[in-house]
Amino acid sequence: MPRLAALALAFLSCGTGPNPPVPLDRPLEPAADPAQIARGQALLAELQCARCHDGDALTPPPRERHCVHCHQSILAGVAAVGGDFAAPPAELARWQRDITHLRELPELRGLGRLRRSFVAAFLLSPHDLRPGLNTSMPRLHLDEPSAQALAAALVPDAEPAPHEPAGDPTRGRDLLGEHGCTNCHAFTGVATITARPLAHPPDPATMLRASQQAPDLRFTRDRLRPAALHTWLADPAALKPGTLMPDPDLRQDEIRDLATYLLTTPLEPLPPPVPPVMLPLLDREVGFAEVDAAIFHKTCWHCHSDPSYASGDGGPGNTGGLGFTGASLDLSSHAAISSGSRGPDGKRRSVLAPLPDGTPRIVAHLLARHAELTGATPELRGMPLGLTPVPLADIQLLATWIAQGRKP
Amino acid sequence: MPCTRLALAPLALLAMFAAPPSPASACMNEVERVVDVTNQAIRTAEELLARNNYRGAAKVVLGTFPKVLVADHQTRRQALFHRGQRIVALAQIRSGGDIRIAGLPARTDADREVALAWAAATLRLHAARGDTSVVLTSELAEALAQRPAERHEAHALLKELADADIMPTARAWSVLAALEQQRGDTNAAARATARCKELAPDDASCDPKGVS
Repeated sequence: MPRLAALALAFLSCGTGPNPPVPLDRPLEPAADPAQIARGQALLAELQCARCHDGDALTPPPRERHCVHCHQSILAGVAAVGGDFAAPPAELARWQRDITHLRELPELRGLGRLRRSFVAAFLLSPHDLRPGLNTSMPRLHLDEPSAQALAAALVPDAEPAPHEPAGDPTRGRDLLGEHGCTNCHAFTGVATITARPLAHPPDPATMLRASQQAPDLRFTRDRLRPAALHTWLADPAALKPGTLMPDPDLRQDEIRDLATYLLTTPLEPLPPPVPPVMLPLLDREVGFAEVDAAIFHKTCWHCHSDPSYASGDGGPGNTGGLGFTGASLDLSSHAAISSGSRGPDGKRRSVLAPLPDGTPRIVAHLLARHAELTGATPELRGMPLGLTPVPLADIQLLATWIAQGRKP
Repeated sequence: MPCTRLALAPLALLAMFAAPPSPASACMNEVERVVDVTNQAIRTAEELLARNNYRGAAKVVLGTFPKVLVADHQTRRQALFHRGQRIVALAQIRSGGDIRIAGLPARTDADREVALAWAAATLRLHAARGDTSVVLTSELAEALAQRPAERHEAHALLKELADADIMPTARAWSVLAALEQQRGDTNAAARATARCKELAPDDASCDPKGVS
């Protein structure tokens, strides 16, 4: 069908000048309202976006409060303050081994290429945009006006009208493979495209970083403004200095073909969300130390820590941060975990007690993260926030420990 | 050259105080625990307390925060100072007021009563400051349970935690069991004791004779 469409386009263009641009099925986005931009800029600070992202509109916090910079410092074995972390080499080596998340995140630069409506929708209901990255945008505590204000602050300018004529989508598909784009990019919803090796491959470390950050191309049509897509394919660094996307070295006609394919090729629908299935309880005894090592100390306590031992900051999930007021949930010790969290009514409640369906609250949050990754938006926010789900086998450990009386 | 060194010495001293090494606070748990000596000391004291080494726990806290008895003392690590106060208060409660430190001599029964009163008042002060920690609530209840006039309040605090299924420790169950026993509710005492023993089968404190 795309081939027929391309033939038709070629026939129509014969003797009548260049093709018209790929038609938009929506109005162009106007410049954002200044009041909304101001509100969005305030929200960028309130939600502490700069704790994870770098970007032109963001004021970076000190390195020791920046998730990614802190991890990068540890990985490089260099300073948080004045030299090094002053940790014994064995500890430093252990941290370096353990840091798997938040080693790198997309920078919020050159965002004028994005559709503002996509940014707002993505913030409200984040999905797995970058399949190679083990971190995804967390579900923040946002309502629709706030998401729109943030999008206005990030993409304030009006959308330029697309003016490049439509190209040949069939040729565009071929180019995607010939230029090695799918070495890094997934493109779900289309038949597999085999990538040739890159003509000028970067060093392996850069290649790895690029493949981790490369978005799934199925979202291109929702995510990018068509006029910006042409500029991006012509010279990515012109739109986003420092981008890991290499210059694909395309002629203008090739850019038109490729852009047309990305914007128009039919996509298979995404598979429906799949509810995660709990593994049965284990028939062996499970102790707290095992659960603590596998789950609580491995992941949870980074955001649910003991404020006394952390300069008063118990993390977003305890004393607040990233726009959350804090649920007063400390997952750093057996006693603290047993103490529960503060519910919406302000009263403390157990996180180990069962919900009406019999699932312990904390288990339900961990399962919700699995559901989020299949595209669902469960009522309970998935935990760990924006990170790889806790493996079902580890959730099984936790559920078994709870069922066995949650002994210390 | 010596003159230069002398001239630089005050600058070096100034630099030491102007830019004290501070641990990473974003990686607040692991990094601070490893690199911050105050953090390490208070954790050591908590471990000693957990092993019923009350004098040892108090000694470590006093070595870190000599003014631990001063309620409104201000330090760079205020949260850890408060933690230290709680450790010394619990050491006093669990030793029956027998920890001898400057200001609390622990020589006579009256001295020990003063120490217990200080401990209860200190924990009450922390609770009144807005610390909503359930562990603190259970510690306060443990302190109040030692004081006959305040046992009713101790029972109410622990009962609320038990009813909400957020009792933090086996010890808290043990204190509740003793309070229920005193109130004559043997069924409730048995339930609390059973839960205590379930959590800490080898802990002698699960014996409801703990409150006298």
